[in-house]
Amino acid sequence: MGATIFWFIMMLGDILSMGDYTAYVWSAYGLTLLVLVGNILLARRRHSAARLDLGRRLQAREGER
Amino acid sequence: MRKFWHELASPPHFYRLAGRLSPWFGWVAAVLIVGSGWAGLFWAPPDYQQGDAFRIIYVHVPSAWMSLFVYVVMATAAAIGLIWRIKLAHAVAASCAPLGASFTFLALATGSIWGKPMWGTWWEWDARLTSELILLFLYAGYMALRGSIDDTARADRASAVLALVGVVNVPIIHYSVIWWSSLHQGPTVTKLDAPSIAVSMLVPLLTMSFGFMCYFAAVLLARVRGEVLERERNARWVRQYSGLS
Amino acid sequence: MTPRRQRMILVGLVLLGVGLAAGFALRAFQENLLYFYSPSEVAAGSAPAGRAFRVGGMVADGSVERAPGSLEVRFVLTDFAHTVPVRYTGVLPDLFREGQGTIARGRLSADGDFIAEEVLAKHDENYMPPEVAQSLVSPPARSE
Repeated sequence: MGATIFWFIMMLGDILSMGDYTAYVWSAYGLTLLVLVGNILLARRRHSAARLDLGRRLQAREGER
Repeated sequence: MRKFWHELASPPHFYRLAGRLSPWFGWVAAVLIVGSGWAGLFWAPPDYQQGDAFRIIYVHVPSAWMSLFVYVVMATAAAIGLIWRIKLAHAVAASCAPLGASFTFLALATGSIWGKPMWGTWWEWDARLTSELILLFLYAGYMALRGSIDDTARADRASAVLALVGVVNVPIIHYSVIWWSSLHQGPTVTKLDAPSIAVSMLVPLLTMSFGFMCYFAAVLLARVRGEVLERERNARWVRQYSGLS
Repeated sequence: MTPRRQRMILVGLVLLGVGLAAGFALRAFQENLLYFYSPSEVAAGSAPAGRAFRVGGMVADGSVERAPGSLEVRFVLTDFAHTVPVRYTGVLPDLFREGQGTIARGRLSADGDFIAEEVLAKHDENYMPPEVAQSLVSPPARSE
């Protein structure tokens, strides 16, 4: 069991290795993924914030009536 | 034709259309970006000089292209907003800025990560790098200007002028490596004779770029929806549509 | 003239004005934007004396000499018309090799050597797999 896990990790390391540049390549790809996902989350938050604000306004208006 | 543009520029119509289109662009983008990322990392052969470090171009080059493309979209939208007084166009321009800034940041950061092992430096003040940094400042200035003006209509006009003035930087960035002796290499894919890149290396680059384009469309549409909802918060259609009233 | 037309012309004028201004400014600063000098310019004496500048060229074939046991290296930069001998002590970038475009920053010494404080490798715009590059150097032997 332990040997299998060890072997698996070795294989994974082999596959993900980018020669002398493993850290450079993966950090560039990782950073890109982070920024792309971040943009999506920000856009969603912006939309839901606008909706929330709208809901509050409408409720306040109902209250006035 | 006239009717089509008229409808497109109407906020409720655009809001609904954007809501429908955005997920489609999003899924196409996800498939393309994940597929091209895999191909760039594992399928494409290593470069004869740069080895595996060259794989960074699959995130660097599309980001750099998008940083310019988004600026052109932003400036065009700003011009349309100024000339035809279309509020929706200003909403599009405003939504472009943070996306363009993030692409510019990615282009600079991934280029730096590539530059350290290849050139031997994280940063050099050469024409390409400097003009790309100015692009980042333009996006930041645009956002800061918008943030500093409370009145939306005035913010729209002032920031649109800034966007238009800054568009002069776009050709400078593109031609910087041709006009001046720079550390950054010249263009590979867009030069007039055949691209000097192996086909197996070019294909993931092009699909990744197309993926970035779809990603931009998806996130831009989502952002514009938020922007429109906020701008039109007093309009009747918003109350009806939101289902909140 | 409709107001819309006026605004259109105004936007056009702004673009034109900024474009012209940028064009003139860049023309004026052309000298400062020059990132490196070529060996020919150095030979002609147009590179600044007494202050640091950059020389860019190809590393001449067979010119790289490393001092054993230290990081000191000597090589010759060429633009195939003139050459500049360079001395440098430090870590070289991974792309540095003979025949590679290279930029050295430093100053000229009295004996004509260029003492580099920094050496950067310039990459060209060609990308190919190792096998293809190999076949360009030595055409595959024809099997009889």
